[in-house]
Amino acid sequence: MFQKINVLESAMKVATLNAQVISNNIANASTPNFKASYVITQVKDDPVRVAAKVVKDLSTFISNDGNNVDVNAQMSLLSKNTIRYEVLTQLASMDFKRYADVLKGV
Amino acid sequence: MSLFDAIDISSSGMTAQQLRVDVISNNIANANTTRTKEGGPYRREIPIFAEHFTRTASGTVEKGVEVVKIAKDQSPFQKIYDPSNPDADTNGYVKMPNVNVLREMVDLIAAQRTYEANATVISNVKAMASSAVQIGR
Repeated sequence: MFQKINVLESAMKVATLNAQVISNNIANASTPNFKASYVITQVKDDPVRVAAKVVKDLSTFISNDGNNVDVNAQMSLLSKNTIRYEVLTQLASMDFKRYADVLKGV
Repeated sequence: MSLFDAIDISSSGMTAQQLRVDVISNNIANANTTRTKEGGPYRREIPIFAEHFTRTASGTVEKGVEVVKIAKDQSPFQKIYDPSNPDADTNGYVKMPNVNVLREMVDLIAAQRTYEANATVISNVKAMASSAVQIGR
């Protein structure tokens, strides 16, 4: 019955993890030899959910001090992530409203 | 894992950049200092940043940035010819600090921009948290 909410919840957890990873990347934007991390998402079934893992980007090269955080790219990832999270909360709200309507018997 | 962790991480980034600005302003203020407690001219200071880890039940997790130490720049002092200066050596040369004001200004701008980026992350995460509070309203 709550399957849809559960899928939304797993997606929100992934978005939270993504916000954390991006904020860590930006906080370390001037740390020598720091390598940026990224969240890779994956659809899993039984139960249907969104799973995520964090990987380090060891291949790209930005500055001489061994740091490869592109702050502009991170900021755009962050904005996209925030919007995605807000959409997910809206969807969850709509789903809860459905139950409320049924219980009220509109 | 929570949204508050992201805010803590960004605030560690803001603290680090704040300290970087403090060190830069000290460097610029002392750009012409020829006498120090240790003797000799002022040496440029550099904050050393490192990734900060915390141990939890599920292993070590990255949690922001920390300043491990403020190091001294060991590059040579610049010498200027000024025989009237009381700190001049017998040949008339004065050792000046190894501070390049132009470089400090560039660093200052970089620190300021990084500080702003961290502040933007906090306001984004705050927007996420308040939209989560709205679920079910």
